[in-house]
Amino acid sequence: MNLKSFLDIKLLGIVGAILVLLSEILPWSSSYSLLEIYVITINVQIENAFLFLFPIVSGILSLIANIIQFTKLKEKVEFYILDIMSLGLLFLFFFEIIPDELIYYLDYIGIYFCISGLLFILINLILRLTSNKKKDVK
Amino acid sequence: MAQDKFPKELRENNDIDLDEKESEFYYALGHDLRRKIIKIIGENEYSSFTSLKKQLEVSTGTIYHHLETLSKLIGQKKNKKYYLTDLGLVAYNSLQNNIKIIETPELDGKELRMPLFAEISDFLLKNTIKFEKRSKIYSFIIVFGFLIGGFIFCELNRSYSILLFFRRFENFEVPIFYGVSFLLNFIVFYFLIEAMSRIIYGNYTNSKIFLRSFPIVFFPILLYLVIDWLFLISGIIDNTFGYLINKMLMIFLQACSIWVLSYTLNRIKEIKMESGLIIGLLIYLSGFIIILFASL
Repeated sequence: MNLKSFLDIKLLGIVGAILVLLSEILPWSSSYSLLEIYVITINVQIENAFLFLFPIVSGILSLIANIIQFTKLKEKVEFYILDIMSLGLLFLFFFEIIPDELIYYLDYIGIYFCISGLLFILINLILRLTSNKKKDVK
Repeated sequence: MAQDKFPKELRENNDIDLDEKESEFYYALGHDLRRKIIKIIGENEYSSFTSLKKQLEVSTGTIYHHLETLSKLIGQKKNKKYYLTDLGLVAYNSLQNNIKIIETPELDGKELRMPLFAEISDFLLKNTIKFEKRSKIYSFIIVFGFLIGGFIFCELNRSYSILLFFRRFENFEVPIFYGVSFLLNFIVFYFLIEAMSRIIYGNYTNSKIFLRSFPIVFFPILLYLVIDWLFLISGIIDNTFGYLINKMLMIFLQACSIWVLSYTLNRIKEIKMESGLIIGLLIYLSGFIIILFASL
């Protein structure tokens, strides 16, 4: 794999992580961002209030994994696991939050950023794993 | 790194006859000492004779003999240091990436950088796959222990399972529904993995051994079910922080399951770790999509 395609793949992951991070501060429902929704729900002690922080945690995990790999230009199993965990957080967020309130979220930009970020991270991970496999076979 | 300078194809250089190249290439890889020489030079880009002697710990004559044999793969600079030729680099790359597959189906641990899980998986694999060398009963206890454990804890938690995901669904009153869902999930999971490894990677090997050792993939998941049950009976799950910890543990242990799956595929079916992770990721994604639609 040449440096150019390596950089492209890495950038995809970083862009995905940034999109997910941005989605946390963008409006999701009635102009409230997820961060604001979290503050409201934690004050009334709703048990799953922390779920609203999952995108930001996921974005940070993915960003760390991608930046480390980007700077070291090296593939390691731990970073794949970190990326998988970051996807897991987003998955959990989606199937715990979305089914009940999807209809309200669709009118605001936040959900689109979050879904795009998830797809970017996922595609980046699959591309990296695939390109690594090709390199090994060569 | 020497790999960066690697030629794209062995056939690109027409100076030497291809057959001769191939014989030199395979001859070089056929001796332990020659492989070591190629590795040492490849890792350092170039190496002096003294350095080689120091690392190989064999007589000067032996090293000279092998260096002479490797004349097509190793060159010498003006400052007398040895370097790998294009063919030598091909041999080095092959050693780096494929030596495990050529020599032995066993993984040497180089690409496993999670020692704790590697130890656990190793322990479990030794006691399941190699049961013919040990006690057969012992390995079956482990395998069925996982299945029965999963069955019991799914019942206790009233959670049904879809691939790597679990959902609590307390209103369904059919007896043993949750436990049976775990066993069915196990069967579906196994056949999905087997089908994917066959269709995507064309790997038809060791299916029975893989089935016997497959329950270890559920080890982290079983651990989560036990923790989830403890959270449930202690009432911690109703607390905001308890809920958070429970979910974080679930995600972490799901990731561990994916890792154990790719490790098992690597050990038993000789599929690369990366390929195993792709399979695990696709399974994870499928589980998410199914459970998302089930929740809608």
